[in-house]
Amino acid sequence: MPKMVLAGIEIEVDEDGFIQDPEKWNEEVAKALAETEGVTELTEDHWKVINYLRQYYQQFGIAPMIRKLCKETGFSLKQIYDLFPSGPAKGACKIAGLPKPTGCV
Amino acid sequence: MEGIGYVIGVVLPYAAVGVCLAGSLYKISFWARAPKHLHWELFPYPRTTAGKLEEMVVEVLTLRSLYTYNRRLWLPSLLMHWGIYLLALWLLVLVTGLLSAGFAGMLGTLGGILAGAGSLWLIFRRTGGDLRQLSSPVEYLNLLLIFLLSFGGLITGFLGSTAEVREYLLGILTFSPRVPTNPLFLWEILLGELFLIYLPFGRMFHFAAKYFSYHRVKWGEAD
Amino acid sequence: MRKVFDDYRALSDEMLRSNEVRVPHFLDAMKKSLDRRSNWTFWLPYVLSLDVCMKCGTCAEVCPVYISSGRKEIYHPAVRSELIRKVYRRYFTWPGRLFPGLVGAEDLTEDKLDALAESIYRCTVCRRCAYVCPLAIDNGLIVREARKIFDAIGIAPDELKEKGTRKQLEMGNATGTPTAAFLDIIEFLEEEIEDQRGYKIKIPVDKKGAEYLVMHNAGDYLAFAETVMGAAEIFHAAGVDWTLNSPDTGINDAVNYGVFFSDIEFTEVLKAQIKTIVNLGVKTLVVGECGHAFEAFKYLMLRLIPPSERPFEVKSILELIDEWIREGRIKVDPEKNPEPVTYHDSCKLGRLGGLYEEPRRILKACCKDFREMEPNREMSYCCGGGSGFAIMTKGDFLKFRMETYGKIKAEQLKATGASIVALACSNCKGQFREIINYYKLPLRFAGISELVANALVR
Repeated sequence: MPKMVLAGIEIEVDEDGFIQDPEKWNEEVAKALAETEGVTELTEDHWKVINYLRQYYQQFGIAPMIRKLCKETGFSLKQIYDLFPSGPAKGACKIAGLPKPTGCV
Repeated sequence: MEGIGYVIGVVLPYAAVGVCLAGSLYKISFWARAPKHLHWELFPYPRTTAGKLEEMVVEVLTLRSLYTYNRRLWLPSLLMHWGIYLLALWLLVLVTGLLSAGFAGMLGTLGGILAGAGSLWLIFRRTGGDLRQLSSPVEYLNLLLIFLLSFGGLITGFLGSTAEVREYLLGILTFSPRVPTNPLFLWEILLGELFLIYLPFGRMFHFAAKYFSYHRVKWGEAD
Repeated sequence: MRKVFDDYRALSDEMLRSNEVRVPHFLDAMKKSLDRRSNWTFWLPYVLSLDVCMKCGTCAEVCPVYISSGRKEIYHPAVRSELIRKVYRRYFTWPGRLFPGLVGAEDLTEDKLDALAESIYRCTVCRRCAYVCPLAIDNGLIVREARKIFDAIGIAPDELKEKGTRKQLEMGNATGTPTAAFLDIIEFLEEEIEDQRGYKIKIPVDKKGAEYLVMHNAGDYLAFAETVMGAAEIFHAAGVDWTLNSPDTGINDAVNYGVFFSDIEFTEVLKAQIKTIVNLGVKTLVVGECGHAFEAFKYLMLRLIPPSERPFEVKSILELIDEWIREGRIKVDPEKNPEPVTYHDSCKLGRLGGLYEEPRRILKACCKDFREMEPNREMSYCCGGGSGFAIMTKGDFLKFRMETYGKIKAEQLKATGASIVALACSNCKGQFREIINYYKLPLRFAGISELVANALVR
């Protein structure tokens, strides 16, 4: 497993840069991950998405449905793409410290 | 020379035909014995025997796939294939004697011209563009063999001299072979023998492979 | 990442096991693949395709990757097949052993093996080339067989294997959705339907002995929920006895990534799916909007699993909707979908599945302005999501998908002037989502079920 130094700590990431241990995640790590995704600043809107993703993941062990994510945060899919250019799965989940979504998503 | 002539004109024809038949049988049974594979057809495909026959005949006679998708190769390839069809017909007409000798000579000559021109054209087509990268020496050799066979048939007079050739072929078929009177013919006969021996083992055998790839694979196979 | 073939990498060094000696293992596995008994599943088309290519290059003239790349030699389908054939001739044929230079036979090296492994993940096995080949030679099949050889020596994309077939067998679906999350999803979908349509429907889950078991691609629940909702509304409107299933029952995911790279993985997933279906005791398995799942259940299963072990019927959701509309079991009003709609023929449903008329009849019944995309049907261009590509995004791989297959598709879409592209395959949906975003196209995609549900008259 490759390692990356994010916000001063060494963290294991997979080949796509998703952190492997969700426990290592904190807001500083999120900011560092955001930079790897070309998101230079995490605004309130970004946090709304990130927090919802984390909360759902902690409850169910998986990222939420995209439709539910949109509904709960009030953003359209297009707005989510504007916030996270690589999209909800590859972009938002990565910054939120979730594992990379699998299957046909 | 006497000895070589005997070998080429009398012995090798049987050997060549034998190898060709045995090789063909081997290759065909190699494919025919294949286990029934998982469904892998492509849609749409003709479902009736008549429909399948029609598609195959149109493909064989007009090379429709090349015409539609790869026009650059279509005309040279069509010339060569028609040349080969005519040469096969020439052989048949000549041996059976069903039609006039003059007609047979015409078939042979025309077949030789078309197959020779087509194969030569294809050799040139192959030396440029994408095909050059794709081709190994064997691709050129296959075409060269067809070209030499057709061209040789024309310049030695083998394809036009119906009476002598017929006599020679009938001699072979009736198992009373004789060395042909015209020594030039031996060259052509030798090329023909090489062709027969090589045929089942090279890619020119695709006419048989095609049966399997169409009927058994692309068009599915009844359960 | 290190360059091994072109500017992209589908497999990382770790997946390629590039620090190991692999050539002898590869040759062993290839030897087995050429044996008609140990590899009977596609043996005939495989050996025919290895032996009788005339190298006319007709395949290249219709290959989306080759055309869109500006005719780059490395993407020529027959050049790719030749990479395999050169090894085949060198090690497994007499002419290749004796006269390698003459017949185009070459030694395999570790570097060539890397390039080969990457090369076979630049083709989606769309089989457009096989359709036009004068000899019906199949470059796609050669690619798939090569993927099988690589898998046999432990080289396969983790998206398809570790996080694909393996995960599906372990969790019941490749998305890793546990039952609690699945039930939460269903509840949410019921609420959404009520919010959107103003009526309540119950989505049955794990109902034993139902007439229809609808098995979606599990990714649809997470990413394309509109398709799942649409299907639920349609089955409800048809008034039939149906059910979805949760991971509690076994496998609740129609996908089978084994189709893309391994007969062994394919068979294992298929058997687990069949076991689930048989345990539920349903009459008919309805394959949701997923191309390769349809291919797997409708065709590949037939000669692999004896009929007595699969006592259920298989239908695509498209076949069923089409039947119901024609029978008048469900009523639709095209005025409810007034926007111009076009349809993309998924390779697996069309060229490989023969479903050309069903989606067209459905869309013409449900949409006011249906437009064909050109070319279509058997000459449809693969969207670029096929054979697992839709979920492969390592490094710049998405860019490869967009700049090759995606580029052609974007042009085709623009030419239709449609504002909705109807899709019936999850991989296509994943790919179109990216195409629309990448090329900033002024349209959206929709599942067929979604459009039908929109047009339902109650």
